[in-house]
Amino acid sequence: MKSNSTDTVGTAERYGISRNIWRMVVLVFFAVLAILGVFLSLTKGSMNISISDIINILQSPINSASSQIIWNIRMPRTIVGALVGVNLALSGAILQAVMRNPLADPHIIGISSGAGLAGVVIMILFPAMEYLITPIAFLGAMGAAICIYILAWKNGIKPVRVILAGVAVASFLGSGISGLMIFYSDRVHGALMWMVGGLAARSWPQVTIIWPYALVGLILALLGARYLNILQLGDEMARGLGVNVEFVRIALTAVAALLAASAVSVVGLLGFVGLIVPHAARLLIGSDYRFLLPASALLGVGVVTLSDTFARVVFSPIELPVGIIMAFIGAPFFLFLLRREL
Amino acid sequence: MKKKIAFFTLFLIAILVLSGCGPKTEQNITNNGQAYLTVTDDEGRKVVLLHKPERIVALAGSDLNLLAAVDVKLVGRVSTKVGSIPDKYKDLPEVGVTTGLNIEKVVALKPDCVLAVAGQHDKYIQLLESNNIPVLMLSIKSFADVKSKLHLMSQIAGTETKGNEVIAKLDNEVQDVLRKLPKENKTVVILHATAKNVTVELDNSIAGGIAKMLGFENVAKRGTAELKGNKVPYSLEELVRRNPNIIFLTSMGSGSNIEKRMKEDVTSNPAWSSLDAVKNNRFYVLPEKYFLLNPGLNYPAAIKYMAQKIYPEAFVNEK
Repeated sequence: MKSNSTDTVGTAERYGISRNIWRMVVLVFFAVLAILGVFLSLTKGSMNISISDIINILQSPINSASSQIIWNIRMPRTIVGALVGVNLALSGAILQAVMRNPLADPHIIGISSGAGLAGVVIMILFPAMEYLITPIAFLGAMGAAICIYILAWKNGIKPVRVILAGVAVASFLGSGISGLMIFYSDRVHGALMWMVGGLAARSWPQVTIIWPYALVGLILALLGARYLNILQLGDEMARGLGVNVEFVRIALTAVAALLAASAVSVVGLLGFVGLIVPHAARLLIGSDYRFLLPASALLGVGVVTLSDTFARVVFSPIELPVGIIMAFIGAPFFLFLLRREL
Repeated sequence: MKKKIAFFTLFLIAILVLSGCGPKTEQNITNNGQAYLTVTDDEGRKVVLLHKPERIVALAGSDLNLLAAVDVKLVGRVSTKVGSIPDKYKDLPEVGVTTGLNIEKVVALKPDCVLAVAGQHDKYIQLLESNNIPVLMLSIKSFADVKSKLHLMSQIAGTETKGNEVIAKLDNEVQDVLRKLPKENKTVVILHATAKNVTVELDNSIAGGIAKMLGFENVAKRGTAELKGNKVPYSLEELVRRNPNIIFLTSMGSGSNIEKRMKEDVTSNPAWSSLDAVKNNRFYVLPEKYFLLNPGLNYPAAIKYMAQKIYPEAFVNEK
C-alpha cells in the first residue's frame, strides 16, 4: 500500500512537480468534487431547481413547494450527507493507520454490527420506540466497539487481535440480526432499509445531532495526524520516538468510533465509505496523514453527495437508498484495490 | 496445459450431469380416472387433487381463520403468535413457524394436501411432491384474494355452500361501507411503517388496495406503474409536489401510544411537515392488525376503519 501511494506522489515528482504542489492539486481537485456534489445535490431531484432560484429562496423564504423542498428536504439532507461522508471517511482513515491494516474500516471495530443490531431490535421488536433509534443505535455502536477493545486486550492491544475480535463480535451480532429478520419476516422492510443506509427523510434534527461530532472529530483527527504517521512505522519505532503507543491507539480509536457511530446512528449502515474513500485518497495523495485526512474528508463529502444525488435522480420518483449505490461502486473499487495489493 | 483442459472438461461435464439431476418442477401424476379437483395455484402451478383431501396441513397463520370460516378440517397447522387461532385448530399438532418450518413434522403428519405460502415455501415443493403430497402455493393479499381463496378452500373441503355464504356476507359488509361514502376524488399517499425512511405502499398492498376500493387516488402511482412489488422507496420531494390530501402511515407493533409516537415522529421532522397534509393534520396512523398482515375475514372492518378516519360523519349513527 505504501509503495502504491509513494508511487503516485513519486511519479509526480519525476515529472518535476514538487510533492507539496501535487498534494495541493489533489486537495483542490477533491474540494471541487465536494463542491460539485453539494451543488448537484441541491439543484437536482424530482424537481430541478436552478441555483438562482435557490439563492432567492434562501434570501426570502416563501411558502411554495420549491421553497419547502429546498429548506426542509434538500438542504438538510445534503448537509447530513456531507457530514456523514466526512465522519465515515475520517473514521476509516484513522482506523487504517491505528490498526495498521488496509482493510480496517468502521465495521472492524463493531460500529456497524452494534448499530445494526440495536436498530433492527428497535424496528422489529419495539417499533413504538422508533423515535429513540438514533441514541440507541449510537449506544449499540459504542458498546460493540468498547466490547471488542476489551476482548482484544491482553497486555496491551495488538491490531490483529482487534480485527479478529471485531470479526467474531460482528458475526455474533449478525446472527441476532438474521434471527430477528427470519422470525419477523413481515416487519423486515424498515430493518432492511436501515441495514443498507439512506438519507431519505433526514432533516434539520439529524443535522443538529451530527455536526458537533463531525467538527470535534475533524479537529481531533487533524491534531492526531502526526501520531497517525508515526504509528504507521510500527510500534517499536513509535516507542523509540517517545510515543505512548497504547494511549495514542486507544484515543484515536475512540475518535474514530465516535465519528462513525454518530454517522451510522443517523443514516443507518452505510457501507464502504469508510473503506474506499481513504484508499482512493491515499492512492492520489500518499500516506502522510496531515494531507490524507483533509483529502479523505473532502472526498467523503463528494462521494456521499454525488451518490445520493444519483440515487435520487436515476429512477425518480423512486428513490434508491444511497447505501446501495455506494456499495455498488464500493465493491468493484475494493476488488480493484485487492488486485493491486496482490 | 493438457491436464488443465482435461480437468476443465471434466469439471464442465460434472456440472452438466449434476444439473441434469436438478429439480423437476413438472408434476407427474398419472391421472386416468376422474380427479377430485384440478387447481392452478398462485404460482401458476397446476395441481391435481386425485381424491378429496382428508388430511390437510396449513402453513400460513393468516389462512387459519379463513379455513375455519368454511369448515375445513385440518390435521396440522403452523405455529403463530399473530392474530387469534380458531378454537377448533388450537390443539392440532404444530409444524413450526411460517419462516422456520419443521418439514419433517409436516411429512410425518401424512398430509394429502398442504396449503403453503407462495414465494416463501417454494423450497419445500419438491420434497413434498416426491412424497406424493400435493402442495398448493397460495398468496393472499387483497380482498379479492380473500374471496377467491375462501372459494378454493371450500371447494377442497367440499363445503361450497358454506363458502358462498361467507363470501356473500363479506361482500355485503363491504358494500355497506362503500355505500355511505360521498363521491369525491381525494388523493392519498400511504407510508409504510416508519417515519425514518420514505417507503410508499402501492395499490397492490393491503392498505393501498383498500384505499383504491374507497375511491382514493394514490399519488405514488406515478412513476411506479410497472412495479410488481407492493411498496417502494419514494422521493419525499415528489410527495411535496404532488401534495396529497391525506397521508396514511401503516404501523407495526401494538400498544396505545404507538399512534401518538408515530405522529410525533412525523410532525417533529421538518422534512415531513413540509407536506400540507401533515400541516393540516390530515394524517392518520393505520393499525397493524388490519393493514400490515392481510386482515382476512376482517377485511370489511379494515375497510371501514380507513373510511371512518376520512369520513367520520358518514358513520355517526354507528357505534
